[in-house]
Amino acid sequence: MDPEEFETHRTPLLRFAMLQVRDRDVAADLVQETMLAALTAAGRFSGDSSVRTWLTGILRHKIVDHIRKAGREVSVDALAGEDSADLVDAMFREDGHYVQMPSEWRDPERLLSERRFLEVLELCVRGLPATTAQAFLMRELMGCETGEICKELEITPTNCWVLLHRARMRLRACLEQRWFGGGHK
Amino acid sequence: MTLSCKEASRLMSEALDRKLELRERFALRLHVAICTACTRVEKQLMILRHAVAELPAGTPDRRTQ
Repeated sequence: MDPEEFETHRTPLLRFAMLQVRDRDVAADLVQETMLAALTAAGRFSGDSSVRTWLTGILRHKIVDHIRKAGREVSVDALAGEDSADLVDAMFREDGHYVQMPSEWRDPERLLSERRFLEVLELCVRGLPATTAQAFLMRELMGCETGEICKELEITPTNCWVLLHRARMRLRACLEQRWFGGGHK
Repeated sequence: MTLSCKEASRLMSEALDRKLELRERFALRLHVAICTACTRVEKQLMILRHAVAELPAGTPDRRTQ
């Protein structure tokens, strides 16, 4: 990989890092380290995945290391130790109906152009457990295929879908609470 | 055959990640057609997907102004 090619991926990688580490400078440093690793390891890109996924994988490891050094927990088992299952279960009654009726999200186009809404979404993403957030961001922000995400996170496809389902359900509930029910318009 | 809302939410999410089998698609459509809650959640998940793509390249770091 040459530096010029890397530049086409820099902004998405930066967004990926920024949603997981709090400090902008740290995120920029991690992306820089990813570039150095990618430039020196060019021969190791196997071509099994897309370049974007390969770079995301390198960056993801650097983010995990950083989070560990900062003393925050990163669950080794992607599905255990993260409390999302209970949170999603709690959204449903025993008969499988929603405990709280989902609200109608009106006027999506206006919503998507509303900066404050996106800030709330960012806050919600930051509230996800680390591995759940990574699976979700690899899928939705970086556009990785689920097969690539499973390989990267070393989980089965089924577990990958489970993680993504939990992430989406938690985010929709978070947005309902913090945006649609929280006194905003 | 008939899905619960919980199962429907799982299929809706998986539909964003893989091609559902015909019987899954059929069961999901059948449920959503008669369920207001799931109609709303399906729309929410689409909006969520588009919203993530709109997230800015980084909120300005307040410490550095």
